[in-house]
Amino acid sequence: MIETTLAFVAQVLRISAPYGLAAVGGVFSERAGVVNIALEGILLSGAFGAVYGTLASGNPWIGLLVGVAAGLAVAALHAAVTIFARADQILSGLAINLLAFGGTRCLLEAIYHSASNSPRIDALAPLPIPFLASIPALGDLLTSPLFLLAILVIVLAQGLLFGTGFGLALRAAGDGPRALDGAGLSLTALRWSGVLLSGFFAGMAGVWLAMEQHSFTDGMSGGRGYIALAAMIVGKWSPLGAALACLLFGAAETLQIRLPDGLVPAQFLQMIPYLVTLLVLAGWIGRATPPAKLGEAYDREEAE
Amino acid sequence: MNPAVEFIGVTKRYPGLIANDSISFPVFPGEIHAIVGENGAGKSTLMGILSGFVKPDEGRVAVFGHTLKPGSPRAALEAGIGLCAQHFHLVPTLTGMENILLGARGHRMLTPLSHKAQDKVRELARRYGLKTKLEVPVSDLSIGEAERVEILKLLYREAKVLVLDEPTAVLAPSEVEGLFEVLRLLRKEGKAILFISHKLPEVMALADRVTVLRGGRVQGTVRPAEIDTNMLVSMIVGGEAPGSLPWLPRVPGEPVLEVEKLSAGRSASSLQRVSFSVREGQIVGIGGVEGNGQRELVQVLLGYIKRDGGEIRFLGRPVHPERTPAFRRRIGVIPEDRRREGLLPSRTLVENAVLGFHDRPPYRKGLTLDRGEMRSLAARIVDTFDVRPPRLDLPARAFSGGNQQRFIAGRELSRRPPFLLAVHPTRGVDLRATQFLHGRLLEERARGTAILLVSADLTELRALSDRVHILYRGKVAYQAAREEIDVEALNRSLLGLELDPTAQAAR
Amino acid sequence: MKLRRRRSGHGQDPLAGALEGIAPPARRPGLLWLVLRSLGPVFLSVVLGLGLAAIFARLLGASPAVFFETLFAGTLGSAYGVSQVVFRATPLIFTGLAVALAFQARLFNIGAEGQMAIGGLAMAFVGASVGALPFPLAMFVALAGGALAGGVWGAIPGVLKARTGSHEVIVTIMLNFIAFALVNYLLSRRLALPETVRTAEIAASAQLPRLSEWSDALRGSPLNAGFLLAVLAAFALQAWSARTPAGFSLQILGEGPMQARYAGIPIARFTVLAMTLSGALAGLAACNFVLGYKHYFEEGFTAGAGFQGIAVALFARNRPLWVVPSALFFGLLSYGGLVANGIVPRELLDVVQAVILISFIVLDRALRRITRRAFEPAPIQVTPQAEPA
Repeated sequence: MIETTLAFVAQVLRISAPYGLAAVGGVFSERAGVVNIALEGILLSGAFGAVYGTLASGNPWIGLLVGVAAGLAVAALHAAVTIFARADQILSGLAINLLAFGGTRCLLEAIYHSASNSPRIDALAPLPIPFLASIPALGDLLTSPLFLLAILVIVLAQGLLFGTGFGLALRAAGDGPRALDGAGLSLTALRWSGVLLSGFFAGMAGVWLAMEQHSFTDGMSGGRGYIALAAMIVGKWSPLGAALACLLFGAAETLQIRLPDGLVPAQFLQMIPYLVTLLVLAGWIGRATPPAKLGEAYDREEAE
Repeated sequence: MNPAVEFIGVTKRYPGLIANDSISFPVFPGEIHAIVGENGAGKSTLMGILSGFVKPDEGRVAVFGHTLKPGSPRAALEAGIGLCAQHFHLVPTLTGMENILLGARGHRMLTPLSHKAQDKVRELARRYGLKTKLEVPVSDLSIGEAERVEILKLLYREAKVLVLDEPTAVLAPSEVEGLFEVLRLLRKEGKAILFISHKLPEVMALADRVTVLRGGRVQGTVRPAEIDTNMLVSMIVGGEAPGSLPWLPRVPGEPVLEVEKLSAGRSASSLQRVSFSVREGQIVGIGGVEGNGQRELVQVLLGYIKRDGGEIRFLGRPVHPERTPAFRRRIGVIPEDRRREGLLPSRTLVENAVLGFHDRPPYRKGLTLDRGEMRSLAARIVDTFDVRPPRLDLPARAFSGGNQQRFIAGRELSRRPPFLLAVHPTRGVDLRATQFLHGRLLEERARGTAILLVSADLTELRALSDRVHILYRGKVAYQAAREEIDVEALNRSLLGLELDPTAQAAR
Repeated sequence: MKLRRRRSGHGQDPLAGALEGIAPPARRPGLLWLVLRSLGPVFLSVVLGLGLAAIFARLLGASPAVFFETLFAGTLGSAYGVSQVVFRATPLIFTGLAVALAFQARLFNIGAEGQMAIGGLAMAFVGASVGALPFPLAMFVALAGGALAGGVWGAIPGVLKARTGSHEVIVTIMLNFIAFALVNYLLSRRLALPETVRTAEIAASAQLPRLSEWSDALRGSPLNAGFLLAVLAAFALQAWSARTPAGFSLQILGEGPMQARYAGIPIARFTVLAMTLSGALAGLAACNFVLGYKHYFEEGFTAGAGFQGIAVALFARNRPLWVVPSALFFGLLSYGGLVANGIVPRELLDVVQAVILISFIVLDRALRRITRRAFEPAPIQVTPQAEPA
């Protein structure tokens, strides 16, 4: 009994982790005022980067670095298009997703000569922590360096956003850019930080996926970037809230996998994250207020 | 004494408009210097330039002798300029304390806000008597409390020049006095204070010197102690007796629009039990310094906001504009904002000609629009209202303000409505067009149209109206028939000094 | 054009009354500028994209010249090639129209993919059930079924926006996923033929005829009358937008909520109308595959047409008639990728498309800003009012 519960919990955590990381990334970008639909593409790029880095160097830790770097690079493109060139944030996100899908497919073909998967990689070696390793079902997870790293950065994210001066300024960038400008701070720098942070987190989410699966497959992000956006909304734009929402969605997904067929149609369980998001957006479960100036490019001279 | 701030030849142009035209005047430390003028006179642009949000095209600003680097809020901050903007520069989701410390000393990137800095802020609040809640999100504060946060922000940053843009616009009278105490204290400490306001009584009570802006230019700088209120008013709005308009006395007909004890709006400028009527062939003017309920009146008549009390009657029958479009569809409206309401800027004149009634015959023929009819209407409007250039294929935004307004007036009048609502119809409009529009309004009056004219321009009101009502804080502070206007009393009512409407019996 | 300048000076006529600081009239953009503004970003971004493709081709060891030659010869060099391009463009015309219509009312319809899927399933179901009816009635009934289903799916975000103000972007994205799950459910539980992942074949009378029936040169091509329908839809939408009162009302709404309020247009009602019509058009997009090609529904047939419709609409500047050439261009890229697959991976064309899209939005925004600064008046001096809900 305990065994099965723990196994269930372990699976939920495994499934929720990439959502959680990506959702936290989304929080940073949107809190700074930049809509980031490109989370999906960043995630995919991170996964590819992880695989490429690991295969090229033989070391999964390098793979982690390359994956995160890939996420940062794609996020930087989004930042350049939306902050520097001030183009439409939604369209930029959609275009970047397209770029990521096509680009990773192209690279998959060009480097690994396959239309669908890369060669297998080894994941990061588990840390030798004696007590944790022996917990049934959860042991693997709790000694996984990537999992511990994920927990760490999510907790740090909450602290960063709500407990530091940087987080304060970031939130001001999304809720009151004019006040920020008037206070002499650089709105551009803050918005770039927000978007790059989303690249960091979503890239790491991609690394997780690649390490779990031990390879890269075409389109493996599978819509997780969009679920992450949904979780961010349901979590009311806070890292912990988003992470909790991800746990909820992850649980629904795990149930869907494990439930014997016929009880509840799998597809309806699949719909849960999306339906919940709709309900939250419509205001029927709690109120989700996005950052006040989300999506708007800031023009100093424009009359208020 | 050397000035704290000196504007030297400051000019700012936008395509189609000169917002500031060669503005030059000094402001000294230890003085409260008021800037007055109507909307569009250039006050906010000038303050924008001073605070670094707007870059001037020509001229410069000297702060304590040094030229201010233009277009940089940070440079302005460092020079000692503190802006309390009309729409506060506060982040609504952050607390007052967080807003004050944002970007200032005590705000460091990787740690929480410094306790020492927070103590200093509280100390400042105590010292200047600025009572407010600092640990609550700004969105939960009252406007007065939020404003005190803004001022604390300036003080914490050790501003030597304080710029306050319409600080009393939304304060209750008791809060206003509190603010003035603080300002007087700051003046004594040697700060230079720039105070922008519409509200002449306050300006007269508080300021040491007043600079009047009109049409982007300095009209003059005066001392309230030395000036006659009438002269001040005329400097701002030019309230001389009307000139050569063909106004003929007329016996007005039946009431077309009646407003009885109408209340609406949710702010300090909400309408309070206002009553008046507009008859056939009569122009009723609603005047007053802006922000005294005129906008609420227009909005409630058009159904944009709810009535809180009272009744509106059109041709004898009660109407409910907030519920049905019936009333709106039968009247003509020249709106306050021609670019954002009255016109479709990117569409041609042909399409603009039917804005508001394109779904009615003859512009609608069965299932489709009759473009031919639209076109001929547009041509008629352009012709009779002398819109230049007379090109129907140009987008509306390509026309100057005066021509746009001619077109809008032409369109609204083309339907021969029994009632016309004209809101600031000649604001930002050139002289020729203004005179033309005035002439047309009088023609409509002669034809029997009932016209409600809302305007901040006293000359215009007096030139056109059969009756004039002055609003102050949402109430009718003065009303009189044209031939009975007591200019002294009217001016005083503008300033809020004459508040007894029963002194003049309604005709 | 000379700008008139008033000589500045003090001591103006105090009798004037009206504001005097009235300056040079706004400059007006010339025809050349308007063309540049309109089509410049389109051409430049395409050039950039194709240039990038050439660079990639070189990097992958191919000769750019050969690449382009293969690309154009394969797509435009034969009747079959052209027909394939047109075949792929057909659903894009519908989805492009759908997105353009929504954009006209300032609404982002990202949900065309889901609306198309739902529409397609409905079309297949109805198509299989109307065998008793003759052609072309059966075909029209099936089409109507698809339009209706897509319309309902489009109405949902419309109603949510009108009633609760929730932003249609996220709503439509969520609805896409819900649509796929729903379709998957219906397919696997009810509608699929046993042992298959597709629905029953539609009745013969419900099919859209292949154009190869009328021309030998098109033999073997899947190009069907769906294309004609799509072009018809473009003309119909253009006529509706430009000529009917409702279409005009929608454009007024798109111009701005304040103008709409001034003109007395019920904003909520038209928001729902726009999204419903948009969904209906996206639902119709399925006809190319379901009624005209395979004659059944299978998952995944949408193949990104809903998202591509966004690019199509952008390039067409939301004008219904321009959607047709825009869709043809994207159809060309799509088939071109297949044709050139021997030389460079066909995914490269996806990358090219993304690059074109990104360059387009950047260039477009830059030009818009330049235009605004040069030709339009100041930020409004009037104290701004609240926008209507």
